[in-house]
Amino acid sequence: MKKIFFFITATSFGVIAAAQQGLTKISVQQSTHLPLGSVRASVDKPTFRGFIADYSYFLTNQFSIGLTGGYNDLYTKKDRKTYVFDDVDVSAVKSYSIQTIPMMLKGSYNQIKEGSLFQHYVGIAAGASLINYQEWYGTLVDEKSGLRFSVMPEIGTRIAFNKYSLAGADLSLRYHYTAFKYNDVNNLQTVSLNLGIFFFNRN
Amino acid sequence: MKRLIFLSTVLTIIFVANACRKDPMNNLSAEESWVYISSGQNGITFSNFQTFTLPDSIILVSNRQGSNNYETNALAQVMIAEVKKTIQSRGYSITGKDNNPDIGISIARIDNSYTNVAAFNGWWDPYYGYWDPTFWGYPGFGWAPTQFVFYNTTESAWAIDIIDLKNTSSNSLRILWSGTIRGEQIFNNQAPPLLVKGLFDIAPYISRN
Repeated sequence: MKKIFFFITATSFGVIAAAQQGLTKISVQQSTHLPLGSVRASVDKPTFRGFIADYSYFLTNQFSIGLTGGYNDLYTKKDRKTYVFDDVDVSAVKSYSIQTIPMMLKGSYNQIKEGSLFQHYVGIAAGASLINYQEWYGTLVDEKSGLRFSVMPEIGTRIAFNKYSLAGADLSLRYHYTAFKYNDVNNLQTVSLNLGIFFFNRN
Repeated sequence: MKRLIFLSTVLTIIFVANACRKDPMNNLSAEESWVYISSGQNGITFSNFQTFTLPDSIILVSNRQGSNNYETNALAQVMIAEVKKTIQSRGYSITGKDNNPDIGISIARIDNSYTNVAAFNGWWDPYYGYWDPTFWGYPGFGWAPTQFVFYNTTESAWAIDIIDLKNTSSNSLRILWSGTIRGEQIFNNQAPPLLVKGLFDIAPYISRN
């Protein structure tokens, strides 16, 4: 009985794996962000404190649309330095703390190869990010937050656990751009490497 | 069901986000928290002065212990001794207030406490973070039923001013230089040697030579 059940499940999943239309996919990944551009003057170290969560719906076998969200935290503590302003000199240990929470709509193209464990995809997301920017002089804080426009292209690949599996590992590379301007930051740019799991779901 | 999934997702994001934030305040040692602020040289030639005077007490500016009091406790004595030693090491000689000193040095301890009230505009309110302050590590923040936040802030600082007692042609005294020290545990009796060194290190131009 068990064998028959397994056979039915396996074959039906096998069919679905090649025909994704109408399915939804959920993916959760841990992100490692590397700051780029003007933000490097403040924070140049990569951060492991980040994750993304994706929800997509397959319109056809190749095209999917969905929502993407996440979080990441950039932090740096600088050595004590004297900063010269117009009227005053300030000697302080400066720390930067920047949190980003993106909320975006995403469209993706997914490449299907029958019988392959790998499914490559490219996508682009656009929407808004909630930014919380803090520049600390010791315990004195200069803070700016707000919702800003964000855009994020990505490439990635999904590796199914086995031929019939609807779940697997998800690996992606994303570029994040957020139109956030404050002090020395002209816009917030990071590249993230994301690794996590995905699973398909029938509605 | 869908609502439940949405809610649990949002809550998970917030908990994870909070756990994953490196709090700048918690990652500072007391010494790293100290901020030294100097008013700069402003074209003043400090080598034109020779003698200084320093009162034997400090000024206390505080809204909880009465204002404009003078303090002569142990902390005040350590602070006065440290400033005196530093100014002497820069080549100036100490003299009494009645012997026509060139400069006067005033030390003030600022210790103010304020209770603030603020309207809470919602989870996106930029000032209070994204959510209930407790989520963000501010368990001391409270909620009133009318969506107002009460919180306490303290202002702690040392202020050291150098006053020109040599050129007093007009009817007002001129402050040549102001230095401020802010941060955690700056009123600890062990702190003054490090504090005074840190402050005068960014003002090397205060010197006879």
